Amino acid sequence: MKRRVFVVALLALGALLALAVGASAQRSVLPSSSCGPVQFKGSGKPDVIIASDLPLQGAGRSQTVEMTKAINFILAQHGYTVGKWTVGYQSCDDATPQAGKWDSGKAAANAQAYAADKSVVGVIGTFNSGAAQIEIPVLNRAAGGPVAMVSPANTYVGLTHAGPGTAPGEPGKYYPTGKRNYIRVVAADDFQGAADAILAQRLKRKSVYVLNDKEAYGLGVATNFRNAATKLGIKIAGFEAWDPASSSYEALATKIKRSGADAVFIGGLVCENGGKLVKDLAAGLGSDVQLMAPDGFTPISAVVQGAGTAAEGLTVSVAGLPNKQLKGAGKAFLAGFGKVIGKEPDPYSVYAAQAAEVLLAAIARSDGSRGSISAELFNTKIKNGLLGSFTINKNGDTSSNPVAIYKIKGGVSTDLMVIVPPVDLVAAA
Amino acid sequence: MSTDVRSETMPRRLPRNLPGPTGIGGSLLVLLVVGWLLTNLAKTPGDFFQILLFGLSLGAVYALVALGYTLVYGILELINFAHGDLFMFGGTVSAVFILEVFQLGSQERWYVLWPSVAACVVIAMAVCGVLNALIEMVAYRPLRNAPRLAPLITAVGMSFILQDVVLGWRGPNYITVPSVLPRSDVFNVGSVEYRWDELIVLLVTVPLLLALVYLVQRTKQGKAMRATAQDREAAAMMGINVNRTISFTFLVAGALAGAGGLIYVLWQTQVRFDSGFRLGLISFTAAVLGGIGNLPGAVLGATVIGLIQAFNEGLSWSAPGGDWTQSIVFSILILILVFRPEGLLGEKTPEGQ
Repeated sequence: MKRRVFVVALLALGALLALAVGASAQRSVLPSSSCGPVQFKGSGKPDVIIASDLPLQGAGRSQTVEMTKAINFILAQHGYTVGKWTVGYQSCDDATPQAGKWDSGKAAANAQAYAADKSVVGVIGTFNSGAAQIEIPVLNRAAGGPVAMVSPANTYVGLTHAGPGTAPGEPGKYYPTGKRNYIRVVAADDFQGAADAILAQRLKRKSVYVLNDKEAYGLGVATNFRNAATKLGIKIAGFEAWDPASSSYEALATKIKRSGADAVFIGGLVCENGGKLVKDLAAGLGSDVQLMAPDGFTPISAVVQGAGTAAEGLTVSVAGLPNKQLKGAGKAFLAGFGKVIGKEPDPYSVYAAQAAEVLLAAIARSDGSRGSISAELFNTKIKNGLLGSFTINKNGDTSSNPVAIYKIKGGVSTDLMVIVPPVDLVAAA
Repeated sequence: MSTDVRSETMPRRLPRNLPGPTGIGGSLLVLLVVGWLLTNLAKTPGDFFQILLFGLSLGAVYALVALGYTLVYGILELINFAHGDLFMFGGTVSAVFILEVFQLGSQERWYVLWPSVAACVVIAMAVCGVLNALIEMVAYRPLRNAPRLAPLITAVGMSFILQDVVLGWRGPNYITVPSVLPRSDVFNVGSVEYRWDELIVLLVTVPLLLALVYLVQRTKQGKAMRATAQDREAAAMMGINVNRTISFTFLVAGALAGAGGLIYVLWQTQVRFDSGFRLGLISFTAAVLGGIGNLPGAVLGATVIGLIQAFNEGLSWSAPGGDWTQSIVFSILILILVFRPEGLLGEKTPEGQ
């Protein structure tokens, strides 16, 4: 009797599992632990899949979720069709709730899943440069040719080209096949570091204390800033890492105050306890010391939530143009997409949308194979696109390199200025 | 034969009045640290005292958590790895009450602020005390006679369970509360500023520590705790209800963690599901540094660790910086375990006595 009950239970469990697997196979081709259902509005199944790989958990969630909506908005505009192929879209998450940000294990597992699923021909992502360092080489040696990646947000220099602040072997080590498969539509941190150095100069700062969060992006942008600021004759009062797991940064603030710095550059991510860092620095240093942060401190709402009124006056640089300066297609996108989400879109949504457009255009020009799509990324020539007109060079970098500077006033982000750093300063950064 | 081998392989014992290489190395290290501190004191006396005061408050929070470790270790010889997470749980409960029940703001009037804070102290201590006693009953008591590894693994498991409960409850982001404690200066002499919130941390912590010492040293229940810690079987034979005494110890340890969590949230204004993990390990190091099972030792160890952390992160001359705090704290743990396992004030456990 017991044995029969056991067999029945086992069969029932098997049936349930089969149902679950069947349901998930219908809904999603990529693992449902990381990826949402296929978004596709056509008959039958899409011919190819593009995935986005963004951190959908943690302080920046509102920003990245909006980016996925922007990508879907663009696909819907194209009728989920490009060239002779129908295209489905899956939004994948490279963050874990435990980390509250991107996670190296999740990024690696996602990349393996994209590489293994032959229907995936392109990835929009990653958001964080550290995640890109893990995913690019996996996708580069995927079966059937390198999988195309277009990042709307990675700014770490070493992903595409060597320079001051990059590690030995970069960027070659990310492309084991020798063929490039990764481009980005934002300016790299040598531009952002240079722009922030110019900002410090324009704000008449003589001595800057530079902090970093030890991640590839944070250390990279801090190094770029240091190099550019030194070139402009600004004194570097100190260069050190902050500990994201620390309870308090009051002692660090005392040390920075002693150094006599009149500005602090915080190279890193807001989800690395950045809100608390800003709070303690503002309390310890007072309003005379200018706090400056790069695009890791977006969304700005997360900084304000973490730091409260201490965030007042903080400048945040973001590679790209502010929404108000977008014209033509960019302006039209803001109006149309803004209506869909019911609010003013985040600047990164425009970049996600532009990345989707670039990837779709590469698919349209290609023969549909992974290798061909990757190769076509480097023939990108956008005229009057969402971000204006630009091309992608052989490294995968964009020719459009403005850096927007925002300042927090009254708890919200306000446009301060746009800086296009000169080539010689970028080279020094 | 065995005697011969022993005489060949065992080194001759050095005369007691000559320090060995360990002693010389230790003394040199202490001299170096003292020299470094004195140099910083001479170069920037203002910063030195400012950081000293900050370090004392930090040490006070560590002390509340370290005492929980040491109380439990003293009575059960169990390293309760869930204790840091219990501290975090206390902080989270406090943050939720501050934000959603009392709805305190940064400019709250005193007659609203202080009764609310007092209520938070009681709630956090009660919730964490009861929770810790329940954890003991459910997770540790059935394993009391099991090999020591079993409750240790269970404690690690409880740590993750508590983290995941809070993660599921409040999500992965920091819960930020307004700065409800006054942040004005108590005094401002030269470049040394001492703020009220730092002083309040001490004003709440010190009476709690004194009350604990009184409880353990002067009350009947404390006597039962000490007796159970010394010899559980003998205590039972003398009519002490061992289970109840152990439950009471967990209750007290949990209440201290709850108070610590509240003070931490009021002072540092944020908490999240993993806030207790590293702070717990640092506090455990403090308990080991002072001598595990030893109440004054835990307070001394916590103060020393708090000061070391603050000096390392805040002093300007030749300080390794915040990047090295973890390495320094855990190096201290390794050095203590290797060279002075009984800690600064000596271990007080059934085995150690």
